[in-house]
Amino acid sequence: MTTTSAFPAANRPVGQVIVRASHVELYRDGQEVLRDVDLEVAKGEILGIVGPNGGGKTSLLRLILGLDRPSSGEIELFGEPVSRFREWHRVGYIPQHAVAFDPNFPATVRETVLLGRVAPRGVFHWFRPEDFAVARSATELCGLSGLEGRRVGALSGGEKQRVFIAKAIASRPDLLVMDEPTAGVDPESERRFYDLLGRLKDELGLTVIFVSHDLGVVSARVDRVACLNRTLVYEGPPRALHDEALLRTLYGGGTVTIAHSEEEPHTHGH
Amino acid sequence: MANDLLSIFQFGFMQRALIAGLVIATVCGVLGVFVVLRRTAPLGDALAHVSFGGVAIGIAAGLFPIEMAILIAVLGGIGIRVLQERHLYGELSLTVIQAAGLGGGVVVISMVGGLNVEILSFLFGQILTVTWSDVALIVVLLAATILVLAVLYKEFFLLTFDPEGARVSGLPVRALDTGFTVLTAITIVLAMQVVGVLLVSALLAVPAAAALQLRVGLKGTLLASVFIGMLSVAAGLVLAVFLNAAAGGTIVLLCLAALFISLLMAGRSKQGESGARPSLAVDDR
Ligand SMILES: Nc1ncnc2c1ncn2[C@@H]1O[C@H](COP(=O)(O)OP(=O)(O)O)[C@@H](O)[C@H]1O
Ligand SMILES: [Mg+2]
Repeated sequence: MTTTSAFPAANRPVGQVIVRASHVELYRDGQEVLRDVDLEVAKGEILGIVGPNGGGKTSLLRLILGLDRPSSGEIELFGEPVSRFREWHRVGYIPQHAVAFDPNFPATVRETVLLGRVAPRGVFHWFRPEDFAVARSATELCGLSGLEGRRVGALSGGEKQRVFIAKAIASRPDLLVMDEPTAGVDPESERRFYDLLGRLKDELGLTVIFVSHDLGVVSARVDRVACLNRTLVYEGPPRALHDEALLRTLYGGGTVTIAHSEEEPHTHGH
Repeated sequence: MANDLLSIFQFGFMQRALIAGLVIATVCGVLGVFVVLRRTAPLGDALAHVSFGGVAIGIAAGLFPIEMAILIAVLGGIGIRVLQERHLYGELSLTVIQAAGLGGGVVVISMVGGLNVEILSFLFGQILTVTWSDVALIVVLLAATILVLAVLYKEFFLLTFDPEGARVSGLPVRALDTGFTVLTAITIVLAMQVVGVLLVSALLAVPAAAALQLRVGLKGTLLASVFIGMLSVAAGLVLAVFLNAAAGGTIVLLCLAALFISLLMAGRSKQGESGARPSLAVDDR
């Protein structure tokens, strides 16, 4: 699409394509939610999705995860159409508002992280020692050592968030999808979250797609951004988030065109 | 005094009641935790009323009322799932199926001559009159239920904690949901014999609700829920005999007393640490 033309080859995904959306459209109750979305995510990439409320970010994630079907267009996961994809243990998902779950839920950190092993182990199979070992190392990686016996509902927002990440990576996914993981956590936890993200990428080779509201932080911490407002307003290196024209188009309402993306984004401030 | 109390278990009817009651408390205790956490406590009520239709048909036709009730309750449970998948609001599906079962039951009963003792005993429980063959049916069916729960524990746990995540991870969520409803239906019908149609959902939900106040992890909560249920059944049976009161009602009142006490305990542990960091308040283990 035109957006990539401003950033040729170097910024285009190289290597294995983990997620590919082509010409995706979604209508709900006759309302257009997504129009003509084309997106590719390569192995090992961290993609941040930003955009206004109601811009279709959650909807797009749900399509990628096979929770909903697009009205038209194709979505492929690991080179397979989503409808035929079966290796779901390769995908981890943390829904929006995950940290706001029932505060009275009785499960401890240890019990919760172990849930990440349910799908890989399979229905009708008991956990094996390696399941406990993997869950333990995920707990450590996420900086939760010492909290294993605590009830998840009694943790702080940032700690809860890391429990959900530990649970997700305990299933040893190749792709991690997170919907607004930093909403409602304090700045210090947010910083820890992005540090953790970097480690997941470096140490586990994880591909990450996540939605965020905080443009400033996103631009410093991701490989690529996708700006979504019904359609992809921009897709490419995060420094473009400093471009005021782009931000106006993204958040300013009005008709969204992709014309702006042909101009070179300003790079001041970086 | 204690000997006096326990000596009533020399009687066959008390032994049968105790065995049936403890087994039922065990299954209700485990299922109840999931039912409460999934916010589906009204499901127990709906299934009980549906199965009342089965009891009525069984009695009217001179067939086995319990078996008939199980059949109808399982069908009703599947019906609820089907309606929910058609996007009829969760509670509305319950109301619809509950009305079908209860309405059918009332019509059938009125046609065969109104409420008789047998039907009343289903409404209010009949634990003190269960026979050995009743006990055998209860033990066999509930042992099977416990086995399924043990095997699918981690799946039901995930489904309860994170339904969407369970779907994404590729679990057969619909099959598991239906299986869970069927297990609940069977348990409800058998538990109905202890406390009756009208109180059975309390036996399912209240011990679990009390255990949840203790904040002792999921495994701990399951054990506590079973324990509270068992204690209420055993103490309720003894008390009912000595007070010459209805056993079902006595058992449920004791469950409620346990809930009350656990709520007080939970309130106190929160108060006592009001100065501490809120995240440390409830779970210092
Ligand atoms: N379950 C739903 N049914 C109907 N419309 C929905 C539903 N969920 C979201 N929408 C609509 O789809 C659009 C995109 O929503 P969403 O994907 O949640 O946006 P975002 O995550 O970017 O805030 C909004 O206009 C919203 O009103
Ligand atoms: Mg959203």
